[in-house]
Amino acid sequence: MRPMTFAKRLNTESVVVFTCIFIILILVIFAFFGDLIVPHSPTHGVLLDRLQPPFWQEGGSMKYPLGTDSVGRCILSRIISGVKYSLGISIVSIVISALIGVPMGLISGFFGAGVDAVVMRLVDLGMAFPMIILGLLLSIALGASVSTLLIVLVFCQWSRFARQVRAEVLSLKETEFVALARVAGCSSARIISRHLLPNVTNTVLVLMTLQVSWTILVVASLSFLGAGIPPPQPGWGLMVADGREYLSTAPWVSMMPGLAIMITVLSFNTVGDWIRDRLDPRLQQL
Amino acid sequence: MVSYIGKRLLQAVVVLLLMSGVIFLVARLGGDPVLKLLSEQASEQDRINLTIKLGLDKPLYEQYWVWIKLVAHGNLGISVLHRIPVIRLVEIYGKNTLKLVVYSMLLALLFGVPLGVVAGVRRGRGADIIARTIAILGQSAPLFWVGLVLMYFFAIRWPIFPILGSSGILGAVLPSITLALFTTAGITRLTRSGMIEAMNSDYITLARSKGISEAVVVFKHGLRNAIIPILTFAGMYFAILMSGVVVVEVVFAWPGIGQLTFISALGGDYPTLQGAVLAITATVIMVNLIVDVMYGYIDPRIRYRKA
Repeated sequence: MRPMTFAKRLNTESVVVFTCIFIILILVIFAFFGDLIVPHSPTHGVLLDRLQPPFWQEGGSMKYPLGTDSVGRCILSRIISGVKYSLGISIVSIVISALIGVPMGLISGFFGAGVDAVVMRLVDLGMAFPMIILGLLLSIALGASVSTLLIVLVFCQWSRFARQVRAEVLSLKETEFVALARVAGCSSARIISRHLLPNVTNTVLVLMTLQVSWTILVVASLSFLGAGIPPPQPGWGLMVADGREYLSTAPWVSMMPGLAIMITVLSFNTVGDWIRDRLDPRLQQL
Repeated sequence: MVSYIGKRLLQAVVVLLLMSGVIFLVARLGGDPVLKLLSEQASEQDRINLTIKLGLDKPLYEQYWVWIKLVAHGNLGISVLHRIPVIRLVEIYGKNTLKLVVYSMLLALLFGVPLGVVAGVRRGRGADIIARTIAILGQSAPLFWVGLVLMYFFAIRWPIFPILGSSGILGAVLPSITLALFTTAGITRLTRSGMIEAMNSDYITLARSKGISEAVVVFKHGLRNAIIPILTFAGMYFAILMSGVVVVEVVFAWPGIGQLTFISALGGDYPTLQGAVLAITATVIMVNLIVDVMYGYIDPRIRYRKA
């Protein structure tokens, strides 16, 4: 690569990454303090103010910057208040998935044979089940709730961690330091926890950041189908679904929360890719 | 090769059996289907009669065994809502879903592969920036929202395409494009990174040093090797794609298998629900199996290592 193009690329890229980090910071603030800074109640509307357009359209005002929905709730307030559900569920599910998937991957890769065969079939199961369908089924069976969402996300997600960690362990197992540890009389448990685990930490961290955007999208899709965050809580996907009936007369009701999802996911995708390139360029295809 | 295929086939059967158990259990978690099927005036005796008629009075493992035996004979039972064999429903709705998947995959290959090749070969240039923008937008935009945006512009503001529920070719345009945005993003990204890796390898330098034209280097030596990583992820993508299909079908009221699942889940039609979900997951497992076998065929190193 010529030095000129490299400098140019670095510049635009760092501006984009910086903007995305900035957006994520704002989202984190919204997640913690969103309910304190919203201009209107996110769950109660003023019926007289129903279907107000956003401020840049005719008839819109700064009172409701992004307009109102069919029962007069402020869309901006609902979007801000919805951040904590989107981000919170996503992060909790990723942590639980990693806590299950990483040990499974370590054990499966280290011991191989029968254990490996069992774990890998379970991984196949998690990978082949379309999670939207599982989410739908479970939410009908158990009722749409945050815990149902978590079950679905963990069921379909732990296998990604297990698979990746197992692959790493398979090659780490052949290295000299593992062989030496064995010669020195280390137990299997010690080799796994002291020698293998620290070596897969980077991969796990990268995978965790990359999963954030994926889980936010899944939560939004399930909410859209009515199987996510239960109303009147402002789930972003549910807000898009609420606006479907008014698509021809009041398109902003669906458009605004959709844009919020896209900007959020875009930011996490960009930052996730950037972290991956920094920490572990080998993981190009994750 | 034969033993490799045999081993993978056996694994696929095991996963499918596990899957059938999960599907069966989840379909039964939704409470007594008899209550959803009976009218409100039905007496206690009607309830008991229907329960016995559907075989729901037997213990769960026995019900599962009956179901699995039927499935093994290619019989998915009778839909309690539509009163026709589930296998017919799966066939009719599945065909419509297949249309969407094929159209969107064709669109993705048509645009994604060339874009990924150009982006990978000429990194950092205009085409690369376009490719990366498409890739990241396609992976970030929620499908249901993209569907609504397309619907708003191309069916409401400029009424070119029908809004909802037409399974004709014109009705397929918007849902296919919606799904294609996602698939194109994936294919572009994979082709790009595959090309970058291939173009950096020794055999490309060798091919160039032999004085072969750049086009032959890129397409014969580069792209052919880049296909391997694309293929690895194709199986994984397919499962994600099937989730996307469900959402897109609900948005456009497209009469596909996702819509069938959605409706039968809401209506307590558990034979259809089990059958449809089993059909979807069996397809995913089969696609993964085919991908793995093809993978072993294209890259002999894999075959020997795994077998």
